[in-house]
Amino acid sequence: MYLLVTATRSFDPTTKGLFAVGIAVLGAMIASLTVFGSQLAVDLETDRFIAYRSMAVCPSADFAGRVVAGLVVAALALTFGLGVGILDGAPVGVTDVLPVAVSLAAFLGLSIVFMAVAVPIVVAANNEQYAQFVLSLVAVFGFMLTGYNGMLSSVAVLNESMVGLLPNVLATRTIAVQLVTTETITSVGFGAERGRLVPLAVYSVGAAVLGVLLTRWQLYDRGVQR
Amino acid sequence: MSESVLAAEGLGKSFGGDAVFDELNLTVEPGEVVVLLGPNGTGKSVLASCLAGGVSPSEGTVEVPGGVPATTPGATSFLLQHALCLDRLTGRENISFYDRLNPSFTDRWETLVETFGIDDQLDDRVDQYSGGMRRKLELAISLSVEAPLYILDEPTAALDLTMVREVHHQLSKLRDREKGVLMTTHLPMDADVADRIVFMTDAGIVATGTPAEIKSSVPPVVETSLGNADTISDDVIDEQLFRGDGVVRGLLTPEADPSAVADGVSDVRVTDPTYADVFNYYTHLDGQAEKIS
Repeated sequence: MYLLVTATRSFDPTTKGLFAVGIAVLGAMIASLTVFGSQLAVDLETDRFIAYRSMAVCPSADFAGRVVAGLVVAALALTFGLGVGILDGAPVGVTDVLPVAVSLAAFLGLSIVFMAVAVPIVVAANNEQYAQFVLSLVAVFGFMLTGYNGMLSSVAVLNESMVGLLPNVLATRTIAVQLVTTETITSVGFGAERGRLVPLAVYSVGAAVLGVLLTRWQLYDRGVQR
Repeated sequence: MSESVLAAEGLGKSFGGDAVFDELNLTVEPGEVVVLLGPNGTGKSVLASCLAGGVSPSEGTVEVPGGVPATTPGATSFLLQHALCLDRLTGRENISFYDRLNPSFTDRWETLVETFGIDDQLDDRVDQYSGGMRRKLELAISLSVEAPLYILDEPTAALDLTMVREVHHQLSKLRDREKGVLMTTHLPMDADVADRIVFMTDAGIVATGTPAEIKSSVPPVVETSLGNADTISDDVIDEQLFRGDGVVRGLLTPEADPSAVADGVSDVRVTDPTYADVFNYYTHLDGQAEKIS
């Protein structure tokens, strides 16, 4: 997708870097949602939770394990997306440990939110194909409605005041500010904003708690005698 | 709770108001193999799932040593047909998955996969396995768990005769180690391994007892060749005959005199019931399946 966009038009280096980050984060969003959701759907479809319940598996351990597995694949997707951008000449890179740590924190927050979102969608779909379709749509709509994850607010369907509060935008802008290496990155609309990690941390902690509760209520409890 | 490794009382399960079973009472003692025998579609798998803690009963209680199954880690090892193995993983990866998931998992799987003859296919993806291979892998995983109670849902389905005997041998070994085993099946030959047989039909549990007690609860059987079926049909319950290997068999009515039925009639024999006859008696003859529990 990144190559398709950059091959059809020429962009200034900063915009090219923003595109690279925005689309790489989209990859991470799709991976977070579909990898996490797909295996969850398979387990649900094949009644494997009946076996898990009989083993007295702790719902929080189940959710945490799935999140860790999803994070690995999502991290690969993000790295791959950024790598494609770099190979295409996008000004993306790291010069210090701190930008990497901040970007990693933003990525973790984003992925946990999206994986928690996947739980009720998978339970409602109760079918791997439907679940994958809906989860992919969530990621793509999230990307498009927010103007490429907040990288190009001018094309966002939602208004800027709302866009700037959404977790995918908070994470993508955080990563972009840290990894796009042009000097003009600070002059883009969101370049001077600070403190994006705080609301993102709140989102991710809330999502983690909600994810554990949903896993317990919708996948483990279901009236099981405890 | 007594020394039972499983005690279910007044157990019932309904889906959307339709009762699958109700008011079931069932126990399994240490060192006992209980075979839950019944035709397809009578709710054996649902019952097994309720007993293992995988599905919530609509009514009644299930107790295992330490509490209720769903909150007592290590209380049971549960084989639920078709639900255990992850298709996209290899056999070895599946074993590794359950090894890491279940703290009670042991290295017995190494011997079991050899015994079941799937050691050479362990690095193949499970979605390439036949039904029998999949069942053997599920068995190897379930029997590798160290637990006081094993609940096995149709463990012999899709297996050949030799492997069925091997599974019976493995269950006997569990009995020797004072483990409790509850297996569901629709195959009468699985009764061979039972210390106690529980018959389940749409009506619920209709008979329970030791193999000898169960067999003695069934009337004698009259058998003749296929072409001679008319000569015995009046003497059997519901005039219903069941096909065997080149013969037909029926269960004698209470009014029929076993010594008179075959007397003077060529090619007609009265014999003791087999487990297949017991199965037919309780599942296919109207009025014989009265709920007892």
